[in-house]
Amino acid sequence: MDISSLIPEFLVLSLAGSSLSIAAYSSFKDRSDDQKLLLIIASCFIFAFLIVLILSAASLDNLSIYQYSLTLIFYALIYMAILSIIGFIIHRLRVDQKFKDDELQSAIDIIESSKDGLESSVSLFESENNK
Amino acid sequence: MQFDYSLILILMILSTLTVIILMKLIYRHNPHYNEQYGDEIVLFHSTDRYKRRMWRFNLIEGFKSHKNKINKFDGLKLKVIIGEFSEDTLEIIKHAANHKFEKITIIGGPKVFCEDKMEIYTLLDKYKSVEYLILPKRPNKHFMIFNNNHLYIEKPHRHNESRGSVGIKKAQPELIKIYDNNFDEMLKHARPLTKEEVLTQDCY
Repeated sequence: MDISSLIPEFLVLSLAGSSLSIAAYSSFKDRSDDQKLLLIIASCFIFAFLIVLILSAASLDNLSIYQYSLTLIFYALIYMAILSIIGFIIHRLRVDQKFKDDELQSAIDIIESSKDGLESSVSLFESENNK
Repeated sequence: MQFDYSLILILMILSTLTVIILMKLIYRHNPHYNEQYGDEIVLFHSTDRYKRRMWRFNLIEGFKSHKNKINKFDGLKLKVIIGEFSEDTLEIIKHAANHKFEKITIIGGPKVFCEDKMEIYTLLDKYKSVEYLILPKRPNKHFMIFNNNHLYIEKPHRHNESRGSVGIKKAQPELIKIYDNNFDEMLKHARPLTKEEVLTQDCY
């Protein structure tokens, strides 16, 4: 079977998959673990696309210098775009994690400040009563 | 090169295992867990009125399913310290009273909002499980203890403003004890209020 006939379908499928996953990720309003999963699905699709792209490049033959240089530019641009998407995904995952950590820290700060002042609120009433 | 079916099978098994491990990794780590405070810590911003109400409603409803596991002589208890018995707290108290909470104790400041008086009167009239007490001065630390298991802590705020709060599911016993002791201490300085007295209570 000629693999080169399957390459266009593979390319479309993997690219559509990654775009859909990122679109689904954007539609979530709340930051949650589901979002993280969607980003990982998107990165799986993107890596699949990258592999098919390399496969398509490997199956190229009998090109003139002109065709060869244009193909090279095309592959370089696509490669850059994919790397940017992967970079975006990693950045989002890190930002989401940082947001969660910050939220937890703010919650702990509220608990600590509330806990610290509990005794003084009781002593206030005690001193009022003693008067 | 021909495809080897055993290789495809191995690849499929490996991919399935990777997905299972990935799912476990993503959903296992609970970022809201802190061993010093509790199992699930949720931060509510001042604008999250609906979210914090639903969180407490769900907590109360969650007790219903666990009720059978709890000793029948140990009824569900809710302890509350608030600045003023407002509309927001009224909703939570009503929900708890409707979900078989057998002892609900509310300690509040000396004043309420004038428009809430009738609602408080009706609540005290309808639910005998609700006890309302007032302190000589408005307390600045507000919290709720749900059956000595879960905590809801508010950021200190003025009577006319709303600020952030924190909900802790399955709070650490040591933390619960600190708040429970404070509640008991406050109880000593509080005066019970009847439904008739609510109508003559000072108001904003």
